[in-house]
Amino acid sequence: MFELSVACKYLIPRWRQLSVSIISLVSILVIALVVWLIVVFFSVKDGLENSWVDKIVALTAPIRVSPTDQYYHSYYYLIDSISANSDYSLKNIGEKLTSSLSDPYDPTNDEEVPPYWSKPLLNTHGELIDLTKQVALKTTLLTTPKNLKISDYATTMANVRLNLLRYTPGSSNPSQKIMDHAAYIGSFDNDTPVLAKALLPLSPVDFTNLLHMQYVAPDSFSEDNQDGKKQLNPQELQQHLQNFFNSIEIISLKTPSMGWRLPANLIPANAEYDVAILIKTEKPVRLYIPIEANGLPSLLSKLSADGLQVINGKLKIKGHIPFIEFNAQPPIALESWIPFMLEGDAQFDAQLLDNSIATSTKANDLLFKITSKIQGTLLNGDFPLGRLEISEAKIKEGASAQHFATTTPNKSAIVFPEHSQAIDTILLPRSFKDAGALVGDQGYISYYSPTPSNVQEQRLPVVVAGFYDPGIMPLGGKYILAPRELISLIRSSYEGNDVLAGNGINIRFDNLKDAQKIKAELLKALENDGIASYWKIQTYQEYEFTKDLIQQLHSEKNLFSVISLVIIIVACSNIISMLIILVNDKKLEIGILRSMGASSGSIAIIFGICGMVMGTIGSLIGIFTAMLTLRYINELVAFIGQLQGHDLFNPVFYGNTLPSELSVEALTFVVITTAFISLLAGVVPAVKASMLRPSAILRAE
Amino acid sequence: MTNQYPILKATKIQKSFYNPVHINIFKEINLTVVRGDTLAIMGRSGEGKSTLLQILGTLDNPCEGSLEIDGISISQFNKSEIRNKKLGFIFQSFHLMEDYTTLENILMPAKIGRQSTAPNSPAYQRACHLLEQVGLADRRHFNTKLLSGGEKQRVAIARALCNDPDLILADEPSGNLDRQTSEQIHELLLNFAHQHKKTLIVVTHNQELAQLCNRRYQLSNGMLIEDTDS
Repeated sequence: MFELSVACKYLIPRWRQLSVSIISLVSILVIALVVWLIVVFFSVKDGLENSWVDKIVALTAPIRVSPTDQYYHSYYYLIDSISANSDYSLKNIGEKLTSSLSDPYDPTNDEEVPPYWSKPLLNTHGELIDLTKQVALKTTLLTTPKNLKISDYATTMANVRLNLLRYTPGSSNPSQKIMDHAAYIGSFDNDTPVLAKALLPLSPVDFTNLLHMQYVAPDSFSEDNQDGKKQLNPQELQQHLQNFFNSIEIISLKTPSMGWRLPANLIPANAEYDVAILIKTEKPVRLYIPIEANGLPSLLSKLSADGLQVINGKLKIKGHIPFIEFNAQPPIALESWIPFMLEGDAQFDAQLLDNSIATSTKANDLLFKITSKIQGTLLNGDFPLGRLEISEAKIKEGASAQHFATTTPNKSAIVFPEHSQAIDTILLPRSFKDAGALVGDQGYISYYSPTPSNVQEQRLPVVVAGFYDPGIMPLGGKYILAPRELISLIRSSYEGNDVLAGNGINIRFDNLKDAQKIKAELLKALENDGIASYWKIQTYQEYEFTKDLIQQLHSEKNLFSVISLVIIIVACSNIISMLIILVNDKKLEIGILRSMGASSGSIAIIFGICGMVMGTIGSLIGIFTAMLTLRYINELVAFIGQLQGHDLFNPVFYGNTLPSELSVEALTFVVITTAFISLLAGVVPAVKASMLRPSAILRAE
Repeated sequence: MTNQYPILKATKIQKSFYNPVHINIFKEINLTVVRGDTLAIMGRSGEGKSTLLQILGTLDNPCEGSLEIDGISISQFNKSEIRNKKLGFIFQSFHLMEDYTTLENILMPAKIGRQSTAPNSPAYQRACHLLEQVGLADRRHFNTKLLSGGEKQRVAIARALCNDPDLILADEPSGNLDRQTSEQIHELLLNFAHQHKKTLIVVTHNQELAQLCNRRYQLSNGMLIEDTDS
């Protein structure tokens, strides 16, 4: 095609057409820059939005079916309250789903059905329609969803009170703080991969706290003023510790940051250390040992800065007797009371001595075989945990979660501690961790239960099994996850008076985009059965607490799309000026081509191609650099953060890493818009070129 | 085969300019050119020789009158095709396309006519043959910027013949060349016209070139008068 070959000739930069070449280059670079910006921005934004929505859906479900008022006033719901088969108590959705009897009413034994109740809804065989089971059945018959899962959910509100016992090194009794929060408590499906990914891993501080809490009896705090002093009997304690060490292996310990007194028995015979010697009244009273010999000068300056009189010297052990050398004097034997302080954050490889479990009455008693290198000299021995802290621990493979929540190895589901009679386990949102709570902390959930005469406070002991990241879900910071049994118990205190309407059926499936379609399909199925008025079907975009957020995300997307379009138009408008200069530059050639029979359409196509090729090259460069940027986005953000001295993005909102997946939607948008707008930009100069009269050009030349 | 139509028939051609005052440069020009004829149009500068040639070559529109080329009446819609297939232009300032080689320049009309220009294609072979005939076979891959004036005009002649047109229109083909080179170009042009049985219309001041043509016309005061003196 001759138009293409001529256009390509025009686009090759030439020294003779320096101004055109420079303008072309700038136009292409501007387009590349804009495309880069849009692709990176939309990819990160789409990634973030998807992860936010995923988390919201993980904590709820893509579709929820909840009972309407009509359900709560139906014969089907109320009948349990007068039936002996149901123990005269109302059933929640979960119980209705698993109950063997759809109509528990026995007219011969149970009291008469009140006349003002609505009539029972019967099927063609004259049997009561089981409203909940019918919804579940209809859901399983849906054709659209892939990987369909149905479960009941329950949400309630209660007060959570945690007693934070903290064992500070050096003091024999733990300090105690109270954390008191009103919170939503919701059930969760532990086989949700997004929720499993949102579970925060245990930190060394969590492991230390868990270890200490093994010595505290479960349910120590539900009575006030107990300070966790309810004692475990020795057998129980042994069992606790055995369970703990069956599932957790402590790998290394570290010294506290304020320093640690090195026991003399750990120091091997004939060892030598560079030390800082604290002098008082011209006598050495304390030795500071840096972990590395080359750390001595900075240690000396640090201690001097604190106003201490220190000098450098050498500690030499001869036999088992310590000597010091300083000020070029002969060695002096040290008095035994003088302490050797090991500076902070020294790491020890640690291995628990199993027999110490039997004799331990508090965590500090546990004996470890510790090994470390101080100034190149190996140091090892058996030593109690004491003031040392856990620096690294791991969950043993195949261990059942006894005290904490963990995930399956492929992170597809949460492994939740088994339900224990003594204490319930809960998962707290990240905000509690930021406020100082740790895994293993105990406390209780309190709620008020009406009795015939008064309203009584009920307390359910709980232990923190883990923390999860709720993303940006509204109220996510107050949304505690707990087992269904616990929520059912709290809800039973105000059954029939459900202000939260926090009970229903979760419908989960793989593709979120199918939500509206599935909702419509299910609604039609329920309408056909005549039970649609008993149920409210909502997709994740319609929940009260997500509606505004999701609408906000949509309107932001629309706004940013319009802004991007404007930026692309501005960037592509450079092409117009470049092409007009090119047309002026190539006037004579246009005349020659016309004289040889090129039509005005062909001339227009040549310049149209020039515009489109420039737009396409610019967008290709932009896309390539955007892909490169996305690949290294976290390194880039970390680097810029380092330069600025603070985090660029708040991890609470944006997560620990930014999403780096290229957004196909953004890519398609940019490629199509850029090509189209650059073609449009080419039209004006192309029409101008095609309108030139060959006779005028050739005569002028 | 001899075509029954004259190759060019211009009837009552008029052309006026309005800038800044109305000037009627051609009053009523009638011209019929038969196939294989060679024709020189002469006249003083400013008489409108080049304008007439452009009108005859469909590059410019007459204000009045009609034009037929090879029996086809010229309209806005078939001009480009007629120019590509039936006409070949040679200009005083050569008007070669820079940034292209000699061969690429010669092949350009074929490209515009959507013919294949791949090596060994008929158009390519014809272009090579034309290059040999104008004596520039060894310059085929030269950039046209590097050629001398005479060489450039020879390339322009070869280019005009690329699509084997019936009518060649030359506007002062030797106007920018020295005497010796001009003579060579005149000879080449006339030889080509005779050899390939082409019709040639040439606008020139050059008496020698005019003498080489079968017919000579004078454009004077807007009238085209055949010169039968010599």
